Amino acid sequence: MKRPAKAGDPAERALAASFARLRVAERADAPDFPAVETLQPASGHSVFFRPMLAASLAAGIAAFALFFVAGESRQDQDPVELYASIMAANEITTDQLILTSPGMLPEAGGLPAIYEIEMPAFAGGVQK
Amino acid sequence: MNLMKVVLLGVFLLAAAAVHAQTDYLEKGTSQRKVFAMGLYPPDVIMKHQQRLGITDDQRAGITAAVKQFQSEVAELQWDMQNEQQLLLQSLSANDIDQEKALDEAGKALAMESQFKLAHMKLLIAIKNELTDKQIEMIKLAIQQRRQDKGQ
Repeated sequence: MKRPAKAGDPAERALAASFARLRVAERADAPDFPAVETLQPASGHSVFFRPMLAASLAAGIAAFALFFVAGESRQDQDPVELYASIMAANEITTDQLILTSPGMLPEAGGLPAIYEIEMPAFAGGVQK
Repeated sequence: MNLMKVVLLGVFLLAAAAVHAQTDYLEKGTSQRKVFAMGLYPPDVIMKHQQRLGITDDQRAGITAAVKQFQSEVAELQWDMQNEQQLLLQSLSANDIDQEKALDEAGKALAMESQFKLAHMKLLIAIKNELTDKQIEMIKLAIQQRRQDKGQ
């Protein structure tokens, strides 16, 4: 059974004296306040804040620049250039298989294409 | 520094190749186009003569939107189509062709080329639908005049 502590108890006095010595020792070991202050960022934020802020800012600027440039190019892209680039990049290979060479079949070169039937000066005399 | 030079050279070469491909298409395309015979007019022809035809800002915006729609439709298809075409050409280049394999590859290539042609047809129809009757008549007359000037 634990008895309640009293102020004049020798054990209590010894314990209070021990804590007092501990506080004195801690004060003696603690660095000066100005020295600790110099380790902190000027703004008072953690040391990780500045790199994170810089990285966030850089990413934001890069994203903005990309969006701006992409938006400009979308708006300014000439439809003729775009069309030409698509058509140049997509060759219909199998169409080449059904082309007839006029050199191999001379008479094929003289056959009128569909639209040529309407041409007034067509060599075959076909009138529109 | 050297890396930067290599990157800049690469960018320059890519840009030059792209410009060459585009101009090459436009130059050789004009004399081989039977698309006019079908009553359809490619965007480059319309835009080239936009002042003469009196193309409005709304029409220009519509044509631009149609070309961008075409681009989005064929962008993904392009890679698969080229891959199938290459496989087909490889098979056909053999002295002894595996007929079954080649026909299977031809079927895949044809299916993708058909998709591309359909998307292109959709574009040409959308462009013609942007034009007024008067503009279409002007184009027809210009084509007829061009043929007469060539003495065909």
